[in-house]
Formats: sequence, C-alpha cells, structure tokens
Amino acid sequence: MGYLVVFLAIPLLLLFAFGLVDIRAGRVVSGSWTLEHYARVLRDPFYYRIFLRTFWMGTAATVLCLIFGYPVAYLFTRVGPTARQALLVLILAPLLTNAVVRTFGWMIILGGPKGLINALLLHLGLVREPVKILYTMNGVLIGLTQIELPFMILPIIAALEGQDRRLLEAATGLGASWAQTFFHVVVPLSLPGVLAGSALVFVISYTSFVIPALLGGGSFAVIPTFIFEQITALVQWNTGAVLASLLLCTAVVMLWLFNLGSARLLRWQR
Amino acid sequence: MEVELRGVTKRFGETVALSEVSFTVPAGKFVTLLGPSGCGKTTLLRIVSGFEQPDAGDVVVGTEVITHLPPNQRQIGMVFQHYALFPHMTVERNISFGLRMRHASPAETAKRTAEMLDLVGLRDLAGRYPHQLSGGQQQRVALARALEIQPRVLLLDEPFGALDRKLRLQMQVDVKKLIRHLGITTIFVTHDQEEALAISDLIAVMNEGRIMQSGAPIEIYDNPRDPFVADFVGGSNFLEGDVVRADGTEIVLRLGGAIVTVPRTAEVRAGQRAVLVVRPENLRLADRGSAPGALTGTISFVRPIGPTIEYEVEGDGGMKLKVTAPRSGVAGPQGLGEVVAVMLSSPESCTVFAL
Repeated sequence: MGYLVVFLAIPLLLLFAFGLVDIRAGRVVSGSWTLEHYARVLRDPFYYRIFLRTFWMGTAATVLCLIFGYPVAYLFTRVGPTARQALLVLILAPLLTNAVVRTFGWMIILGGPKGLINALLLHLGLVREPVKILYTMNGVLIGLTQIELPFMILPIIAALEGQDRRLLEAATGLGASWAQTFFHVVVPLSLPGVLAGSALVFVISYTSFVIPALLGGGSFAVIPTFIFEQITALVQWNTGAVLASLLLCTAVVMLWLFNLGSARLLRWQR
Repeated sequence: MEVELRGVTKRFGETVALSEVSFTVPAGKFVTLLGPSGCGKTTLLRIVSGFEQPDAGDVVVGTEVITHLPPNQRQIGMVFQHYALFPHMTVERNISFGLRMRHASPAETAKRTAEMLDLVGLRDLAGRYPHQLSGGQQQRVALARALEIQPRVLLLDEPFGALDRKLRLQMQVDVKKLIRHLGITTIFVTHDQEEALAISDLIAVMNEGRIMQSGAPIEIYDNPRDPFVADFVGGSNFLEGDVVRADGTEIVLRLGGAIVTVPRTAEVRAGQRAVLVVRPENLRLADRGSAPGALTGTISFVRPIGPTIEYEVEGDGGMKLKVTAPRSGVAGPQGLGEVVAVMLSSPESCTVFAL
C-alpha cells in the first residue's frame, strides 16, 4: 500500500499538477495555477488527430491479436500434452526477449529495400519495387501484434479450458454440425476470455511507446511518442503533462465503457 | 421406435466396457439400464447416442442401422446427468437450439418451442438463464430441449441424481407421466434400484459389461436370475446351507440348525452346497421356541425408518440377517440384544442358487 502511494499515486498527482501550472525552463512558476494548457490542447484539432491515430493503432492491434490469437488458443486446448508444452513455449516466446532488442529485430526484417522481407519479395519476383513497411502504421501494427499476442491468447485459453465438454456433446446430439457447435457454443462461451484479452491488448497498445517510436520512425506520431518528444526534445513539460493525463483518462474511460458493454454481453454469467 | 443392440462390444484399452450386449428396447417403452458404476450402462447409452463407437456390433433404430451415423444425424434426444444446458442461452434459446441448428423456419421453431415450454410448464421462465433456475427447472429445460427435435428415442443419463430426494421422487413421476403421454421410446440409465423399480416398463440389470437379466420390474425383483441381481435389486439375505433333499417340486435346505423348505427354483442335488436368497421383508421375527426348526439369532441393530423397522439379526454360525417389518401391529420381541426366531413369511418368494 505504501509503495502504491509513493510510487504511483504521488507521481500521478504530480503529472496532473504539471498540466495545471506554468513551467518555465524546467521550473514551476509558483502560484501560477491555470487551465490554459488544457484549454490549448483541447482546442487544437491537431491533437485530436493524434489521439484518433493512437486509438486506431490500439483497436487494430487488438483485432489483429484476436484474429491470430484465437485459433492458437483453440488449438492449444485441443491437442495432447506434448504439443501443449511446445505451443506454450511458442506463445510465450515474444515475452522472453527485451522490448528494444526485439524491435530492432523487426527493423532488420521489415526495414528498407534491403530488409529481409523486401529482399525475399524482390528475389521471388513478387514485387518490382521495394514495399514500404518499416516507418508505416502497418509496420507498427506488425510489431505490436507480435508482442501482445500472449496477452490475448492466455485469457482465451483460460476461457476455453473452463468449458464443459458435455455442452459440445449436447449441441452435437441436438443436430449441430462442428461449425455450428463452434460458433453457437464454443465462441460465445469463450467471450469472457476474448473480452479480457481485448481489454489488455488495447490498453497496452494504446499506451505503448517503444514499438511506435522505433517501427513508426521520426514522423510517426501517436500520443506516447509525442509526449516523449514534447518533454525530451522540446522541453514542453506543460503540453507533455496535459497529454499524459489525457492519455491516462481516455484509457480509463474506454476501459470503463468496455466493461459496461462486457457486462451486458456476459449477463448470462452468474 | 424400437431400438436393438446386436452384439455390442466396447473396449477401453485393456478393460472391456461392454461384452457382446444384445438387447431390444420395444417401441414406446421406458427401459432402464440398471447397474453399479462401471458396469457399462453409460457406455451403452453413449454408443446409442453416437458419442462412442462400438468395437463390434450394431445399433439399430427401427429398421435403420445407425452404428456409424454421426451423433448429429441420429435424431436421438439426450438428457445429460448435469443437464448440460447452454449457460449463455435463455430457457427459450436452449429449447429451440435443436430446431435452429436444423434451420427450421422461425415460425415453426417458435410454435414448437412454445409447445415445449407449455409441456414442461416453464412458459413464465422462458427469458431466464440457466443459472437463474432451480435444479428441477433446469432438468425440465433439458427434457424440453431433447424433446423439441421430436427424437426417435430419448436417452436419460441419471437425470435425477442431482436433485434432493423429495424433488427427485416428484420429478420421477412427472417425467414418467410425460414420457408415457408422448409414447416415446426411452432408455434410462441409473444406479438407483428404487428409481428403476418405480418408473420402468422394463429393467436390464447390468454388471461388468453384460446384461445379467432383463424383464419387468416385478419379475426381476421376485425372480432374480443370479445372486448379483438379487443383491443389487432390492437387497437380499444370502443364506448358505446344505441341500438335504431336492425333488420335482421342493428343495429342503439345512441352514445351520434350521431346516427350510422352499419350492424348487434351481438345479440342485441332495448333498450340494446352495445359497438361499430371501428379501428382508420376507422374514419375520418370532419368539424363540415358538417355532421349532427356525433360524435363531440375536438382534444386533434396530433401525426405525418411518413406516418400517429394519432389524439386523446375528444368527448362529456368524450368519447376518436383515429383517424388515411394518411398524404397526408387530407383536413379539423387537428389542436390541434379544434372542429371537426368524421365520420365512412366504417360502415361494425365495430363490435358491447352487454354489
């Protein structure tokens, strides 16, 4: 509890406070309470565009993780113990490397005309011109999806594992085909895992910094990279603090709305 | 529709779950597979439903061999032990599931589902989710869901096991009435012999992957074909003794110091060892000395269970006897520790097996 106060609550309060005072040359001007910095940011459509891009990045990464993660989670619950062990290692592998090192790896794979992907595509004659993936949203999404897949897969596995296999027999006995059983019974019952995984992936993507900074490049701006630039390069503590608190607040509000929606979808649970 | 099992065999690794089971369930009858856990009754049910494949033999419904038909094409209704209701669907959606999966028209589905809701008396709860229902209501949903698809055969896998006693008895009556009203061929699996005797048209007693005996409940109760059936159905006293005399009509047995004469029901010869099977309610207690030649023993336990009293009598030579007597109008000794005579009430209801 004490740790939470010292290392979370107090820094957060300071963060909010830095947006409510004037800071000049790295020093707080005493007695300069103002809402001007918030007003300036909220009036400027430029920031809305960055927020929208950030939201889009989080949503797209979530959808991609769901598309690639669900089949893996389903497979995991349907194979024998040996295959399970191997799958688990593969699922957790992205978490075993350092974020920066792994992202540099992606730069080598995705990057430029001589990157692994372009070399391959050109060599196979599938494209004439090198494809631009690195320093685009697509590149960022590839990196985000890879690192966040475990956060989607693990809750879905938990939800699928908890399913009563007799429900599948009941569905089959009532005449349902495999596909009908899958979409009418398996998927709806795994919804708690899908929703938990989606919330995790979205929040981590929405606030992620390293991947958009490295795979997005200098001109790619989402809120976390923009804050970094404001504070380290431009020494705009006020703008940085305002954006950081808005990032936090929007994330919390979206999670809250998401939970409301989830509760409605899951009202069949006890 | 009639269901016929032809030489059905099923092995799980080394264990033989079913060994050449042949059995016919007559059309429209309520047939119970009765046996201890592990006797193969559930495996047999799963083979009929298609969730298990037999290693040998065939399952025939009506005139159609369905052995290799996948379960979703069998048109067989099943009520699972813990109902297996879809937790994410309302009562109505659960019941209509079968027709929806068959792409029946919405109008037909709605009509049939309404009929089923009325049939099981759950119209008011159509919008509830399973976790909002009591055990008895859940079971009725499971039954309605199975009947919705107009199954050729209905399978019930210990459907009353999860209910408390009072509700269980009520549900047995309700379900039996409903099934009789619909005239649907039903196979019911249970390990509870009381339940089996109460609601079946026919009982097949199973043990170790075989059907030991099948017949009407009363027939099985009164004429068990072997000691297992006698013991499992109804519970019995097994009294070992020597055959003194056996002729065309009678067998005379010496049980310790007692001599008992019963009608001939087994191929035994004088001098052979045999076992006399007597139901507890076919024994009565009397004053010692009032009946010369009777079994004697000491009352070692008295268990009053409502309408009847169960006595445990330790007879001569370590023989243990269970005696039940109606509680009203009993004269004579009934106290713990008393030495009593134990008499056969009706010798013709006893069965003798050669050892």
